[in-house]
Amino acid sequence: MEPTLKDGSIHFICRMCLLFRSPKKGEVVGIRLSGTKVILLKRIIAKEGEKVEFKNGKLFINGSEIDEPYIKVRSDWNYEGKLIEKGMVFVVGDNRAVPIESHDFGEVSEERIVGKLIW
Amino acid sequence: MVNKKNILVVFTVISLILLFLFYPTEKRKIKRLLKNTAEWVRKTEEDTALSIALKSKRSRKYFSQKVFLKIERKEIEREITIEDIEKGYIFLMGSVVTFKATISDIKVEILNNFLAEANASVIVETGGKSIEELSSVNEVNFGLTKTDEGWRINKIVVKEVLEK
Repeated sequence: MEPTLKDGSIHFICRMCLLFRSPKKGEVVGIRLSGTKVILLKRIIAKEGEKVEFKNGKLFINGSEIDEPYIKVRSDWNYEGKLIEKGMVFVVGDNRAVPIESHDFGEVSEERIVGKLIW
Repeated sequence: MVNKKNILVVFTVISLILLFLFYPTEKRKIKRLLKNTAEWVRKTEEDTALSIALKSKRSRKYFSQKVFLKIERKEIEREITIEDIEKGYIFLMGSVVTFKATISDIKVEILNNFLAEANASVIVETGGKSIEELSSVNEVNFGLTKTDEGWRINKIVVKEVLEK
């Protein structure tokens, strides 16, 4: 999630914030793996029913280019469209300087989201 | 006399608590096995080719004769033998300067007297040589079987949490 979040820095996730509503696009959320000791921090860029694409580093949702003010270094990512399934969201980190092959991103079940990053 | 009785009661209570906390249940044995396996794949700059070759033989303490391996992201799905694991260990450790696997959030389910499943989060960090430096976070599902020597890993499934 660099440069938005520095490697090794401490952050807080609000677990209550998403108890009564679904996570929104643009929010940075915590994604659990086997438990909650190890959590991935990623930004939601698309929700169910939407189609995600990257063309020369630019994000397109349902064919429309999306402005991403949180991205500091533009990438050359190209990613074929993917239609997000029911109950899933599409998450990406803000560090687009790394090659697309090395970056952990993709579709994830909403059930894995443990909360919203507040700090 | 009263003091001796009190001491005895306190001693008994402490013993019971310690027994409760540290009794080697099957779940604890499996957690220990997985942590020892993660420790086994640790490589530091002090390790030599000889120490790696010797350590490779310890694979039999952690794995059964055949292990089902599945890596969802790479679409790898096959059965490997203990000999493959030893060779793979030597190759991997020879390809990196440092290697570290940290295992946490271990959740064990005992299926019956001889079979169990465990889920865990595994962080792998490597320091480069021929393999580029990387740090990856994975959710891994382990299958375990109980032998005369104890629990052994017979299945490793690296799950794809974020589906590209």
